[in-house]
Amino acid sequence: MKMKILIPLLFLVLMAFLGCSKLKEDPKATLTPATYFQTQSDLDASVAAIYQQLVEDGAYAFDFHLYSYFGSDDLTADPNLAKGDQRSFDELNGSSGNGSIAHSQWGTPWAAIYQSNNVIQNYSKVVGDPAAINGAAGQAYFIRGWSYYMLVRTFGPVPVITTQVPADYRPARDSIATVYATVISDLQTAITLLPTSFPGAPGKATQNAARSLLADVYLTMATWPLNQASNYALAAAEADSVILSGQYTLVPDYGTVFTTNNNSESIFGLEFNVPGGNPDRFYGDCSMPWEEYGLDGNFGWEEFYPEINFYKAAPVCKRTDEEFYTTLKLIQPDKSFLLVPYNSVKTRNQHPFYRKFRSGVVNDGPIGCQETDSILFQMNPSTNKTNDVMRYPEVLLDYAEASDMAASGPTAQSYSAINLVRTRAGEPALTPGLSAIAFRDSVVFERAYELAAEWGARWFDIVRLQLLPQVVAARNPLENPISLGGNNIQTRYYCPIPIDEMLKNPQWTQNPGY
Amino acid sequence: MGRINYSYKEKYLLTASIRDDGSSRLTKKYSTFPSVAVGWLMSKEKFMANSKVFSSLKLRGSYGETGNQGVPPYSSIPVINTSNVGYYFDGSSLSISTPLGPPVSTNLVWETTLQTNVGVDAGFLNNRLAFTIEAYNKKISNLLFSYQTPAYLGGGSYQRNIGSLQNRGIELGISGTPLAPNPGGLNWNTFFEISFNDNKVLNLNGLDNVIISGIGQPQANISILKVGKPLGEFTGYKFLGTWKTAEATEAAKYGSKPGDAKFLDVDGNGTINENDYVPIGNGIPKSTWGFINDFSYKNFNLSFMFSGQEGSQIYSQTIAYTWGQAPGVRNATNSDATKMWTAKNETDIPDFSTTGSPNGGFPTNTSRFVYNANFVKLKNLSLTYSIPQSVLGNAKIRSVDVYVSGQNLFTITKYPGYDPELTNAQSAQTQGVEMGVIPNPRTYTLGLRVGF
Repeated sequence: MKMKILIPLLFLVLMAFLGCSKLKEDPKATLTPATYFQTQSDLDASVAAIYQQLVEDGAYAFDFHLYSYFGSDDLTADPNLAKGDQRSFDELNGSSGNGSIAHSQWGTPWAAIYQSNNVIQNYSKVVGDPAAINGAAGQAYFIRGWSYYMLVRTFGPVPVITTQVPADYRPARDSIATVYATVISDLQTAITLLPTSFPGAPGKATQNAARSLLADVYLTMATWPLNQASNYALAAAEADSVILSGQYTLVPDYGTVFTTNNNSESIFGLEFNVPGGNPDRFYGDCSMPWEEYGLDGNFGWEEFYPEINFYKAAPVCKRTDEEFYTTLKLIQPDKSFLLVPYNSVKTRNQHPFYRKFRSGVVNDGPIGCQETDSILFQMNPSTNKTNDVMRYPEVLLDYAEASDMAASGPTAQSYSAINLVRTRAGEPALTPGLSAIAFRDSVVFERAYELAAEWGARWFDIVRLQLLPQVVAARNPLENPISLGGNNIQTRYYCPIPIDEMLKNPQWTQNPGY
Repeated sequence: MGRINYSYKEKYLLTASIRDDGSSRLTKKYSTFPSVAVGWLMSKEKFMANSKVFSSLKLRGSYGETGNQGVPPYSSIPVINTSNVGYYFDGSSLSISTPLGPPVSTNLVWETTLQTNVGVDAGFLNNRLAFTIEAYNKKISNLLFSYQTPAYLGGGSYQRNIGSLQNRGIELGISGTPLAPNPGGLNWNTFFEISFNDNKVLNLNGLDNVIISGIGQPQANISILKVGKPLGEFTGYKFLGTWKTAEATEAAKYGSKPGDAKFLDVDGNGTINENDYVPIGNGIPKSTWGFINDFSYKNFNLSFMFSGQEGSQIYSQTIAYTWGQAPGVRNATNSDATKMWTAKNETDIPDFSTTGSPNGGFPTNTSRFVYNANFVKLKNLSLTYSIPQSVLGNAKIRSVDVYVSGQNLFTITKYPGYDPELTNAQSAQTQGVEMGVIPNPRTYTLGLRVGF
């Protein structure tokens, strides 16, 4: 039969054709890490990619980055509106399924770290001016250090990844001390690489930005959970070097800090540009009351506001007037405005609001809220306001606390640092002769009102000084009810790891209580 | 590739092929896929040739492997993305950014489908009754999937071989002509088919035993891939009705009160959170069937088709929305709102309270919105009258038919939404997820068909 010959023959022909071409992909039109990083502009564009992760809408361009800090007294959320992602944390009942947390507080720092690792791994390939190359690399170290600092304070142990790793890499969670060691190492490297300023590019982290952040890191390490008291002296020294540099001065008027960009006390901030598609939505509508309407028909988004007793305990001073918004303007059918105190039954929740975030920057692009004391003209969710991550008052207060605790009592410099902040706030100088702890508590009190609702500053003080039980005890009965569901309040100092990440990392254990 | 076809005495049939495929998109570029099919026309054997029962009988079997390289180009090469967005270091001038793309698989191989079929085709009574049965077992291994990385790998998606899944089933078809063919008299043709399917994820390569993100739309986070479960299993809280007045103390432990929704606390820790998610349904039917009949008598023709399915569920986001979207935004348009829990009439329909847990007592990922999708449907019915040639006479018209027909005339189902047959699934992984789908229309047609 012919078939008997044909079959083997067919197969022979087939085999002869196998593997005749190499099928190698050569992506000529696509950039790959293997061919990139040749020029300074390659490097600069890779550094811009790090920053870009931070300003996307779901990242740090809204109040998403504060949600897990709502257990704090400077932040609470409406009991009825669709604000469950932040309200659950206000009730100390946050959960791992919280999509906002997964995207912003967890996802954003990691996205920045991923891009930072790309720069750190490759910057030495670039041929060019060493100062410019170092300046770019220093940004990557700074953002990576800051991102790990945000992660470790928010979630506790996280894996430390400082190189590019393969797609199937599944690390363990590193200890809190290990994460802090990385933060310090990154910020110290940043200090050696970064210049004192980038003329024309105020959004770039500088040497003093790294020092300021490092001071804050040391101060946190001196308190819970590491409780390494020796770090008070290191914190004081770093903060002092920033103060002595003379690079920053307080803006004379507190309210102006929030209506100007890159002002004299801004140390590091995120830059925004509405027409370019990077709007800052943290200022404007975000913090305004739901029942407030402008003459243009827009209304507030009421994403967050302070707890009642937090406002009531505020010092009576000019800063408090500029910080809080306590008389609501309710539009009437005839387009006039009824002025209603926050605690009136005519308001929805009898809560004060923040004033300082209403306007946004006033001389650069759209204004968040245009108003007088009695008329609300326009409201707007998007502004070009720089979102300051680190302001000079924080360095002064870090110094005040650290120098006090390092020396077992406040020095004259400790007093002068806090009194700079108090004077600008319109408060009298702090009572002289306070004990170390009394002075520290005064600093913590000052921080609460100087930095309210800014980057979780108040929440992190509550965490590192373990203040949650007393903060809860001070809540007004009108606040959302605490709902611990049988969990120990001690477990609330950390946010749960998002559920998606837990499932992708079966080797991890969830934070206790979630 | 090579292929042979061989037939011996038209009784023994053999087809075999082998192909070697290469794809530049994968790291292991070449893979070999053999297949073989055999058939035995038993009815042509001598011992069957004069059978009174069988008019034809064929046994057949096949085994084959096929490959899928369905990933975009450069899926195994890391890339630097260029985009129009960037960062404004001074707040006004754009610095172009070039982010590093997601990591890539270093071992990307062909997705392989391995399928075995066996079947019998039998004809009886001069082929007036035909019977087909086929069983298949299909295993897809090295499934290619756009997998979302953990956040520490940048959070993007990359192509990965994620595991294997199995599809097994039996398909049965019976067609018949119950009445002897009778030109001009009453004729009846009928056809019934049913298929049973069993689908499950066999493994996800050990890295995870469940994938919940990046599954796709329409409703994020409801469909998952889980080892041992069918593709696109729904996941969420098991709804237990309402907390009753007698359970007030127990409800308070969850921050709830009587009238609030009650969910299963799987781990019993006093909090309802994502750890309490359980499988709550699946959109892949266990069986589907169709039943077609065609009658003709003189110039009349009547045909209709029933179809149905059994064993699947629908997760209806639409129905969830009829209860309002969120705590405090409760403007129900669901008529069951009249039967909501009250202290006097403790029904299992939660009230509008916002104190419940989780999410103010109104999470949407819950079995409360998962419904039985079984149905029996009259898909179409049509009656045709053909005007006889004798009437048409010498007019230059070949045929004139007058007909009336209807589609989707009725459905028997417990599903409270519009149409259990349709969902918004965009892939097998999101089957059974319904979110504002436009139902099949019920249509009536009165027609005249003229042929020249």
